[in-house]
Amino acid sequence: MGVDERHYNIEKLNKIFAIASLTLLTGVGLLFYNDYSRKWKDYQGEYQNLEIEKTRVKLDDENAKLKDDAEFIKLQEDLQKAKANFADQCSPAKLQDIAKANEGINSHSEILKQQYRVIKAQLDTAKFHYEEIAAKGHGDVKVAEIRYKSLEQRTKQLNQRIQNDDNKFANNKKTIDDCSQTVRDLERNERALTQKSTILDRKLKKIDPNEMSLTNRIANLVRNLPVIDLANPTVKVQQIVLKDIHDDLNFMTMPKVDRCTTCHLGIANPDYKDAAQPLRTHPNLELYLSKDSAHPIESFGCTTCHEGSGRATDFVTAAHTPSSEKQEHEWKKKYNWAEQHHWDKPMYATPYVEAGCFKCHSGQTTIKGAEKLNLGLQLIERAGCYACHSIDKYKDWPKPGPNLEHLASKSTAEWTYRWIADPKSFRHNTWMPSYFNQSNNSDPESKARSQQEIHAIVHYLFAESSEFKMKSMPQPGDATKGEELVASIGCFGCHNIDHSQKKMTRDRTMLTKEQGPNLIGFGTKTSKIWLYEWLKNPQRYHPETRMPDLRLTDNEAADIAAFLSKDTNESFNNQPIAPINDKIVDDLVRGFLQKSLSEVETEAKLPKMSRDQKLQFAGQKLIAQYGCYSCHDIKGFKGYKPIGVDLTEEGSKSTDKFDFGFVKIEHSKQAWFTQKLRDPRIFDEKKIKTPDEKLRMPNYNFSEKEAEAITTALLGFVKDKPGKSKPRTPENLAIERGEQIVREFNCQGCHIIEHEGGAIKDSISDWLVKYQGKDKSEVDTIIKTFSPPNLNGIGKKVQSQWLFEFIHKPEIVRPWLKVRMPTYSFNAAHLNSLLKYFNALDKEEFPFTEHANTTLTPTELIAAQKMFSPDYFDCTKCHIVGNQMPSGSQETWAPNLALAGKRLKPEWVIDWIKNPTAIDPATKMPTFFDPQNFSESGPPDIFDGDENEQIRVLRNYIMSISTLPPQPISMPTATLTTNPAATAEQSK
Amino acid sequence: MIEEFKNIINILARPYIMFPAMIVAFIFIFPATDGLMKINRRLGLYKLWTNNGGIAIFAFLFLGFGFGLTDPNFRAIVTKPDNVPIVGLIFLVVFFLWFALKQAWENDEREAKGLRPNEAEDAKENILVWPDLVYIEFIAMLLISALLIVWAIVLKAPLEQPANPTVSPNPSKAPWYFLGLQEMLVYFDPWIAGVLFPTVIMLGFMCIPFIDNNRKGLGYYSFNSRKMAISIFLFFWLILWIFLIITGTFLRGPNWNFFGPFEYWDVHKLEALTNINLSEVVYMILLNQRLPDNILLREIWGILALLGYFTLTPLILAKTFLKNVYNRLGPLRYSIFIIFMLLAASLPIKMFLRWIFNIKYIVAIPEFFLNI
Amino acid sequence: MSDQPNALAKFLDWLSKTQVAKAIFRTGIPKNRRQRMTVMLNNVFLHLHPVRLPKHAVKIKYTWCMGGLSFFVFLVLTVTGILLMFYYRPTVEYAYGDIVDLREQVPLGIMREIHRWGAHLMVITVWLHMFRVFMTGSYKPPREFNWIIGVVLLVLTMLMSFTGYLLPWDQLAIWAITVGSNMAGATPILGAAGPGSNLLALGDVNFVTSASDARFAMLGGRFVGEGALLRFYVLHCIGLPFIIMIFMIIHFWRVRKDGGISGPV
Repeated sequence: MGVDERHYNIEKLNKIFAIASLTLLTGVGLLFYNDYSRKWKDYQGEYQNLEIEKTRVKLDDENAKLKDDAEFIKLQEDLQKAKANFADQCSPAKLQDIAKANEGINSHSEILKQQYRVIKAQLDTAKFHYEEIAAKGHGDVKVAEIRYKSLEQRTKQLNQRIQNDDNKFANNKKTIDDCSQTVRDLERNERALTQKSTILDRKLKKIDPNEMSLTNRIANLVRNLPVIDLANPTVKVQQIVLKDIHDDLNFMTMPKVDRCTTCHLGIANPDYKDAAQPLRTHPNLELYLSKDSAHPIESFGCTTCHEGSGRATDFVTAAHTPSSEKQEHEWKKKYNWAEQHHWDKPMYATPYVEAGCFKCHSGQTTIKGAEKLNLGLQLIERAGCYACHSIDKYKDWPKPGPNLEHLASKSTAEWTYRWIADPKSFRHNTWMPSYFNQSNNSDPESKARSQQEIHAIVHYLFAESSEFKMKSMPQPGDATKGEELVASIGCFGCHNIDHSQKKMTRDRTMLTKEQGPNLIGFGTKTSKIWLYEWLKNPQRYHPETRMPDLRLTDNEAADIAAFLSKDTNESFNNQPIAPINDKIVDDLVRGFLQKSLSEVETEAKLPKMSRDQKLQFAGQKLIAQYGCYSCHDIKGFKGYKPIGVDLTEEGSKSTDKFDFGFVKIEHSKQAWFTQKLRDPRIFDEKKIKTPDEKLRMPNYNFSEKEAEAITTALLGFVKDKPGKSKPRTPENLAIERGEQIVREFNCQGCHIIEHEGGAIKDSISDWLVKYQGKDKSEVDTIIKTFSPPNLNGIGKKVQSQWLFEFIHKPEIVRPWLKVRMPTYSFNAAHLNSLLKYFNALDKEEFPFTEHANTTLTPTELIAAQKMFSPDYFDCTKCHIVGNQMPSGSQETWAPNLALAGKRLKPEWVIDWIKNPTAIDPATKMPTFFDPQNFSESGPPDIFDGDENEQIRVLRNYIMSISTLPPQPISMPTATLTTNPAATAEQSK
Repeated sequence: MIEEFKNIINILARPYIMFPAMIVAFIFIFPATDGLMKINRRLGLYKLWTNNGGIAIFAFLFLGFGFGLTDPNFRAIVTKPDNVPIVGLIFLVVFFLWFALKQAWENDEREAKGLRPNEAEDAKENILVWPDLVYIEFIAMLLISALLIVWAIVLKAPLEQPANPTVSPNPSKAPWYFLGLQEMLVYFDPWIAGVLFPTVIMLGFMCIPFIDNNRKGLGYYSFNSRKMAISIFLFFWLILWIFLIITGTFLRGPNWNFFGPFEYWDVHKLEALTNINLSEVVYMILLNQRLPDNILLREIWGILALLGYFTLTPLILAKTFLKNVYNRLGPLRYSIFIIFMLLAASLPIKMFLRWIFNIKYIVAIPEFFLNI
Repeated sequence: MSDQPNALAKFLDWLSKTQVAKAIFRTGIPKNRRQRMTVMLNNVFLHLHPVRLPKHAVKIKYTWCMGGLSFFVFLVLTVTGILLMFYYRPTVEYAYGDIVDLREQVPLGIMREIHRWGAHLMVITVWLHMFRVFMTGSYKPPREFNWIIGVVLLVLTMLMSFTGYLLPWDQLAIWAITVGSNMAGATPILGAAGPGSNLLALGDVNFVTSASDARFAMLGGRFVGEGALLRFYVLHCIGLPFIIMIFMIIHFWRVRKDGGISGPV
C-alpha cells in the first residue's frame, strides 16, 4: 500500500474537521459568553456611571462651599504669610548646613553603636565567666574580675559618647522644625477644613476614568474581561451572609445568603432616591437598612422581610411578584418574567409587602411603619375572625358577639329572625356577618330552606333562653336628658350613632369608635327596661362583656334608656317573615338524623317528634353547623371546637392546598384570600354539593381596601420564627401585653396612648357647642381640658399604687370633666400588666421606688406658703385644693393638689414645675421658671433666688397638702412618711 | 375539528388499544418466521427499510411532533427539560433501527443473489488506523462536545423546590430510564417489577450469546439469517422497554392515571380501578361462595395456572410450534430460552388479563407479601 | 505549491529535530507506512487502537462510533463531575444551596448543565451501542464474554445516573429516588416488604425489618435522607466510576483480544 494511500478522502475529512472544530470553537465561545453576560453587570455599570456623576457634583459644590467660606479664606492668607516668612527666616541655605551637620553626627553615632554592640557582647561573656568562677570557685577569680571591670568601664564611656551625639542631633533637628512649625500647624488646619473634598477627590480618582492615570484606565477595562474577572473585578456579585437568620428547608435550615444588592446597588445609599429601578434607595432609610436604623442591612438582609429567592442574581429566578396585571405584562416583555413555580416563597407583591413585618413583630398590637398590616390586624380583631379561625396571637381573646343565653329577655323572636336573615338591613355597619342569601344559597330552593333554618335557630335560642329577672324602672326617663348624658359621659368613646346607611371604608380611628354597636334602632330591637338593666350592670346579662360600668344613677340610666329606645326602625319591622313549612323542616331533621341513624330508624323516629321538638333539634344542629357558638355564648355549646381552619401559619401554606374550584382568578394566595373575603362562598360555584357540604363562611361585606389589609395580615401569618434578631426583653413583653389589653378594652377610644387614639375629641367638641353653648372657634383651645387626659408619659407621672386603685375604682381627679372614667371588670393580672406596660413605656422602675424625702422645716414651710400665696405663684387660682374650688371659670381649672401626695411621683412634680410645656406642650399650666435663663427665673427673695431649692420646697409642700386647706404659719403637717433617717438628718 | 382529531388520538393512545396494535404491527414488520416473512413481502412492508421508506418514517415522526407541539398540553410535557432526552431517544432509536435494517435488507438481497454481504468486500482489505480511524474519531468527539455545549446553553437543567419528605409531588416519577420498571409496577407487585424482572432482564441479556448458537450473521447486518433472534430482541427492547418508557413519561399523569397526549393533567381525574384477584374470580364469581380461609386452598387455582404455564407450555411448544427451535438449540439451551420467553410474555399476558378481566393477581398471598 | 519548503515547514522540520521534541515524541509526524504504524504503538493513548483494521470497521456506517462516543462522554462527565465537586457539598443543609449557587453566581456554573445532559446522552449512546453490537451479531463467539462485560457496563451506567439523580436534593431528586428505592424494599427475603421477609428469623428474632433490609442498606436509613445523600454521593463520585473503569479496561482489552471489530467470517 502506498505511503499516502488512505481510505478516506483527506480533503473532505479536513473540511469536516474544520467545520467541526469551528462549531466547537463557537460553542465554547457561546458558553463563555452565556456565562459572562449577566443582566446584573449592566446594572452595576449604570450604578458606576451614576456614582461618578454624583461624586463629581458633590466635589464641585464642596469646593464651591470652601471658596466662599470666610474662615477658609483667612486661613489661606495666614498660610501664605507663614510660608513667606518661613522662606526668609529659615533660609534654605542655613537649613542646608544644619542638615549636613546632622548627617555627620548621625553616621558617627552609627559607628559608635556598632562598637558598643561588640563590647557589650564581650562584657556579657566576661560577666558569665566571672560569675561562674566566683560561684564554683575554680579558676582565677581575680583575672576574670579585672577583665569584667575594664569591659564595664569601656561600655560606660561608649554609652556617654553615643548619648551626647544623639542630643546634638536632636537640637539641630529642633531648630529646623521650629522654623516650619507654624507652617505645619496651618497646613494641618487646612487639611481638616478640606478633608471632605479630599476624600471625594480621592474617591473620584478611583472610579472616574478621565480622572485616572492611563495605566489605571487600561487596568479598569482588563480587570472585567471574561476570565480575568475572577481576580479583582469592579463588577462582581454582592452578597450579605446573615448570622442568625436561616432559610427554612423542611426540617433543616440553610444559611441565608441575600444577593439582592448585586442589582439593587443603591438600596442603602440615600443619594439614589430618584434613580430608576433597580438602583433606587429603599423608602424611609431611618427605619430600614441604615446603620443606626432598627433593621440594619448587614443583620437583616432583604428576603427576611420581602421573601423571594435571596440567592438568585437574576430578576426572574429571584421570584419577583408583579403587583398588577399591567405590571405582569410589562415584566413579561421587559425581563421575559415567568412565575417561579419551583420556589415556595415568592416575594410579596408591593401592595402586600408589609406582611413581612408580622413574622418578627407578631407580639405587637400596632407596628410602626406598617399601617396596612395594622389595619388588617385591627379588622381581624373587630370582625372576630379569631373566634372561628384559631389564631395563635388571639388565642385568649373573649368571644366577639353578645351573650345569647337570656335572649328572650332582650328581643323578640320576629326581630331575631329578621336580624339573622339580613343583619345589615337593621344596622348597616354591624359586625354581624350575613349567612343567608349568599352566592351559594340564593337559589329559590335554598332560599326556602334558609328561611326554615332561621326559624329553627331562633326557636332553639328562645327555647333555651334562661330567665333574666328585670326590676321595674324608678321613672320612665327623660329622653332629652338621656341624649345629653350620652353625649357627655363618654359613650362616644366606643359607640357612635350613625343613621347615614352609607357604606364607608373603615380606617383605624373609626374602628376604635366601633368597639360597641352603632346605637340606632334600639326601640325596635329591645325594651326600655332591658336597656335600663343593661346600663346599670352589663355583667349580669353578659358576664364576659367588655362594656364597662359607668356608675350611672338609676335616673341617669332611665333617661339614657328612654333616649335610646326612642329610635325605632319601622322598615326593618315590616320585612316579611316566611311561615314555618313543615315539609322542609322534616327534610332538615331527616338530613341530620340520617347522619347517625340508618334510613329505617330515621323514618321511625321522625313522625314521633312534635314540630317544636323538630325545630329545637334542627336548631341545635344548625347552630353547631354554622358555628354561631364560636362568637356567641349559647346554652348547650360549652367547649365546642371552633369550626374554621387554623390560620396561625396560613401564610406558609403552599398555593396548591387552596381549592380554587372553577373560579378564574390568578393562581396565587393573595388572589385567593381577596376573593374569599369578597365573597366567601364563591368557590362553591358550579360545584354539585348537598346543603351541609356547602361552604359556610359568612360574608362581612368587606370593602376592597379592607380585604387587601386583611390579606396582607394573612400573608404575614408564617411559620418561621424571628430568631434572636427580635429581642424578647421583659420590657418588650410587658409593652406587648399592655398594648393587647389597651386594644382589647379600647382605652384608645378616649385616651391618647403612645401618641394614638383620643377619637372621642370630636364628639366632646359637638357636646361643648350643643350643650355648653361654646362657639366653634373657641372650642379648639379648650377641648383639651374637657377631654380625657392624654396618657403619654403616665408611667413617669403617676405612682403605680395610686394608678392600681384608680383603675380598679376610679376617684374624681378632674371634677369639671363630664366624661367619666368607667369601672372595668379588670382582674389583678390585667391591672398589673397595665402598670408594667405604662412603666415600661417610660423606662421607669417597677414596682418599687424609694420614698423621696418630702419633709419641710418651719422656714421652708413659710417660704412654700409664701410662694403658694396669690402674690407669688397663686396656685389656688386654678388648682383645686382639697374641697376649695378655684376662683376662675371651669376651663382654667386644674387637678386637685390634695391628691398629689398619693398620686404623683415626686421627681415628676419637680420636672413639671420646672418646665411643664417640656412634658406636655398643650398644657395650660404657666411656666413660672423661664427655661432659657433658668438661674434668674425664680423669685429672688426666697432662699435668695436658688430656683432648685424653691422648686424642691414647693414640691414638698404640695406633696404634703392633705385635704385641709393651707393654714397660715403652723407646725409642719404630718409628712408623707415619717422616715427616721430623714428626720435624723434634718435635726442635725 | 382539530379537537375531535385530538380526542381520537387521546382514545387511540390508551394502553389497551395502543399496546395490542403495537404488537400486531410488530409481528408483521419484524417477521420472526418464514411464514410471517412471506406475508411481510406480500404486504411490501420491507420497503420501509429503503431510503424513501426512511424518509416516510421521518416525515411521519416530524409531522406528528410538529402537530403535537401546537397543543399546549403536549408542549408542556415535551418541552420539560428532563423529557427532552426521551424525545431525542425516540428520534435516535427510530433512525438507527431504520439504518441497521436498511443495511440488513441490502445484505439479504445480495445473499438471495448468492453474493457475499457488503461488509465482506471491505473486510478483505486492511487499512492503517492512522490517520483514518483516529481522525474521524477526533471529529466525532468535537461534534459531540459542540452538541453538549449548545444543548447546555439552550436548555437549563431543572431545579425544583428543596427536597421535602412530607410533600410528595403528584405524579412522582423515577428517572426516565427506569420508567419502564415503574410502568410495570401498575401490573405487577413491586418485588417482581422492581427486583425479579430487572435481574431476569440482565441475566437474559447475558445469556443471549450462549443461547443463540446460530453461527450465521456474525460481522454483518442481516435480518434473514437471524430472523428469530432479531425479532425477539427487538420485541424486548422496543416494545417492553422503549414503548413503556414513552408511556411512562408522556402518558402517565397524576395518581399514575392514564392521560392522552393532548389531555390536561387534571389531579382530580378519577378512573374506576376495581381490580380483583384470580381467587376471587374463581370462588366469588364462578362458584359464588365465600373465599376459603385456608391460604393454600384459596390460591390453589392460581398456583396450578402458574405451574402449568411454566411446565406444560414449554413441553407443548417443544412438540409443536418451536419444534425446529428445540432441535437446533438442544434441551438445555431450549429450557433456558423458553423460561426467559415465558417470563417476558407474562408482562403482555398480565396486561391483557388486567384490561379485559380486571384481574390483578394470579396468586395473592398478602400474608407473606407474595403476590404474582 | 512551491517546491522549496516554506518558512513554516522548515521551522516545523527544525522543531521536530530538537532534542526536546525527540524526547517527547518517539515518532514524529508519520511520513511513511512504518511511521504510521509505530506512531500507534508508541503512544499510550493511541495504542488502544490496533495498528491496522479491516476497511469495513472504519466505516461509521458499520460501527456508528457508539462505543467510542460512550467512552468520550464518560470522560466529559468525569471532567465536569470533578469541577462540580469543587462547589458541591453533599450535606442536607448545603446541597440545594450549592446547586442554586452554581446557577446563579459560580463562574462557568453551566458545567452542571453539561454534566446532566451528558449523563442522559451517555445512557442513550450505551443503549445504541448495545443495539449496534446485537444487530451485527458481534456477540457471537469468540466475543460472548465481552458482551457480558458490556451488559454489566450498561447496568453500571444506569446506576451512575440513578445515584447522580439524587445529588441536587430537590423535589424531583428525592421523589425519583424514593420511587426507585421503594422497589428495593420489596426484594424477596432481603426486603422488609418483599415475600419471605420473615424467613430470615431465629425464633421470633426477625433479622429482616424495615430498619435492616436491602432498602435500608441502600439508603442508609428508613427514608431518603442525609444518609442516602452521602451514600449516593460517595457511590457516584468514587465507588461506581472506579468499578466502571475496571470493566472498561477489560472491555477494551477483550475487543482487541477477541479480534477487534467483528467482520463477516
